[in-house]
Amino acid sequence: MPKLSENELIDALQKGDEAAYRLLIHKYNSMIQNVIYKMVEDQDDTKDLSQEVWIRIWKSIGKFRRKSSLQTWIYRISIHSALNHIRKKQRLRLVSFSHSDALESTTYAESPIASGFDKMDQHDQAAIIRSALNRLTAKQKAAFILSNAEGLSNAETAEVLETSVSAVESLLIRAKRKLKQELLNSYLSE
Amino acid sequence: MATQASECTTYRNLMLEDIVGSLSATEQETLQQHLKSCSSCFKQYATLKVGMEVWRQPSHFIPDEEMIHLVTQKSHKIVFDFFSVYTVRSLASVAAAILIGIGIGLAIPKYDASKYSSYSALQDYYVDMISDDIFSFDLFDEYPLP
Ligand SMILES: [Zn+2]
Repeated sequence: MPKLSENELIDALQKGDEAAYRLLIHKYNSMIQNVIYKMVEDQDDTKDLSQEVWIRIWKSIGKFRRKSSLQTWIYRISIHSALNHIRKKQRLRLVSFSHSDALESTTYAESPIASGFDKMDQHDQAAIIRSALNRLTAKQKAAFILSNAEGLSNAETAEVLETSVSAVESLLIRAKRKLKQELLNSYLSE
Repeated sequence: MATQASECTTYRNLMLEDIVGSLSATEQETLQQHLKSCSSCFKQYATLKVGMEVWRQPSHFIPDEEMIHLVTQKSHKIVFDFFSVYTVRSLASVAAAILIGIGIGLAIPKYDASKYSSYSALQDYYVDMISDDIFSFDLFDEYPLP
């Protein structure tokens, strides 16, 4: 398929062009899976959710009005799917409260935080960051991931999360404050 | 010794500010100066910095053919299902219209073709049919992570 501009690609997608759809998958799949994985932190869930995102993209591309870039729109669908997944998981967790309580204590006991900084390898260190990030609200986490890992500006993050720039700033301030506190606690437990 | 320790505690605070990305340029300068002279803080800072970098790194999820096949197949299935549903619906509509037409001798009510024949209508149909949660991020405002 020849190189297409974004508008040409969208035109082709809106006409139901399968080659354009494949091109889109090649272009954005890695981005989708990365952002979802950072949100849900489970390989299998990431795989399932990214497939859902692709189906969702296909079925709603006709409604895409080009008010934002294609990338922003795809981020929005991905984050939305991840947040939905987290919400469903949270509901499930509330139902089986005692079971998940046991799970949480297991996770905490196995957390690398308890093992001291010096003995940690890179993955343990990243696990500390992940563990701290999981203390944020889902939306704070989404804002932090978009801004810090995906490198989006506050304006772009606001567009993805369908909110104002000032709301994103406030989300990020709260996220960073909480994250810092959690990392500090990890230090103290050292 | 105690002074050094309390000094380090102050810098530890700055280190964390830096890791989460909320350190000003001036504070950054101050921190860097301390790190040059304090190996203990430098070590801790490097540990945290690496952790954040590892977390930030994108994993390279390459879309395998199996995944592409699955996704395109599912999409095609939606088109196929759409036509099946619409064929049945159209036939039923025509039959009903004929019966009504014969019965009351009036014209068949106008069929709004633009509503059902375009590709976009096909997608609208599926967007509406598969009940996605509404696209409002407000739902997740203070939602705690599991
Ligand atoms: Zn120091």
